[in-house]
Amino acid sequence: MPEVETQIRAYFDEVVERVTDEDIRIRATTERGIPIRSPRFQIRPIAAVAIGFGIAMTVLGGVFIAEAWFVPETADVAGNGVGSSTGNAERHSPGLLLLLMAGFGLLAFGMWSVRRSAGDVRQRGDDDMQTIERPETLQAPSGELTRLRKRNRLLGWAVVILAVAVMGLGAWLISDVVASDDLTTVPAEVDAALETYNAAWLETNRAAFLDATTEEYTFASDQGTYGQASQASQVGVLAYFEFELFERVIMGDGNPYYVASEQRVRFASAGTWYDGVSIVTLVETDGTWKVAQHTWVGEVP
Amino acid sequence: MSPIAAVSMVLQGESVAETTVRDESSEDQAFTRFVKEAEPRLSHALAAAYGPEVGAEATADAFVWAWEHWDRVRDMKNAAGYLYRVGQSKARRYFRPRKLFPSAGADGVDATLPILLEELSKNQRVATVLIHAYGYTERETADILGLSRWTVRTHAERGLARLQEALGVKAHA
Repeated sequence: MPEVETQIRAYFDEVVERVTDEDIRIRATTERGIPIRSPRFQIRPIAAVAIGFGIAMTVLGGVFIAEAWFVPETADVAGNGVGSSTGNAERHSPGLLLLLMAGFGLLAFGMWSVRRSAGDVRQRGDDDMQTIERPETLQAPSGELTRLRKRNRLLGWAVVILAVAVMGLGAWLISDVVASDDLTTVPAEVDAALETYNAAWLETNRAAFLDATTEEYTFASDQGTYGQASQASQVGVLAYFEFELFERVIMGDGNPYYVASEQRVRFASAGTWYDGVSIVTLVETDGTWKVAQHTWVGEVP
Repeated sequence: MSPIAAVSMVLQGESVAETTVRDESSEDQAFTRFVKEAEPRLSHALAAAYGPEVGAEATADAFVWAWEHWDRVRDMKNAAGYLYRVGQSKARRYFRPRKLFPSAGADGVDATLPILLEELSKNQRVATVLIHAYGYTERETADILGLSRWTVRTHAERGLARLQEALGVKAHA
């Protein structure tokens, strides 16, 4: 048996297919689409676009549905069990399900397109990797091959940019939805301070009112602006007070928090309900959250 | 071509079109020379690395890339080494055959050689094939693989020793 070096050379001389400059020119200038590559990587642009849109729509649809069905729309700050049911019909509308289904449909279409392109290659009997061993079967462009035709990557780049744009839009919308959730949530200690303040009003508890408000506390309405002492006396003499909370929006991302609540209130002295919006400003002083200002915009007795 | 050069040529009675055609022709010739010089080393290196089937495709793809980017490749100091990287990248796009090295019926070739080649590491195969089978220098092989001469020498020696041991053939004197 010959030496190993000789054997290796004989083996490679037999099995290695050499490439000439003519092969290269033909390969570079012939029409593309010859199935010389793995079907696994033949993803058509339409499939890429469909998959990109499908993913974005599915994610968005899922987020919206989760938000609509599982996140409560109103907060029961007063603890009186009253919440709003307004808008639930819109939130649970079939449009969200349609969005989700459309996303699934696009995804399915994209996957089907990919499978079909792979299947086309298999149907032509080109499942195995092909080599350029029959140059006479290749279609060279007419005319003398003097200049190389560059590959057009414009479509590929367009697909990539479009996919990134779609995903970016989806991420932006998702972040918007997530951020909007923050409009109804505040830290637990802030929520507790607000609840204490509301409870003081409901229970006409003057001491609790003074404890829940700062010394600079003011209450403002169309009837005027009152200080802490003045309002404390009102709290102390009110025989009956109740309110219902419909909507709550949190503004500010730290100290202070502004809590705007759509409410209706009723006093014992006047049996009718008064609708309006309370804007309560909460500040942190010495590690304790207290109400610094309360503005009532709406009907007054 | 700069405008000044173009004007100069026109004044000398030489049209810009003629010069462009001549430039293209000389570029074609330069590319042909480059292929003749680099193709054997690249073909054998990529065939040793990925098997003859994928290696041939990767080699062709790498040279097509070189043809498309000839302006860059022409001025490279180690164009063959760069194209080996291109070939590596292109090779990833192909299915790997179950048997990397097919059986061959060449006279004097042990039937187990393809199997033994597959058992070597990729760099060992390339180094052994280029240095011991085709007589390339360690420097030329190192340029292709992007490794140091000493690393390439180690790969080649170990690869050859393993093949010799497995085949029971004495080392080349």
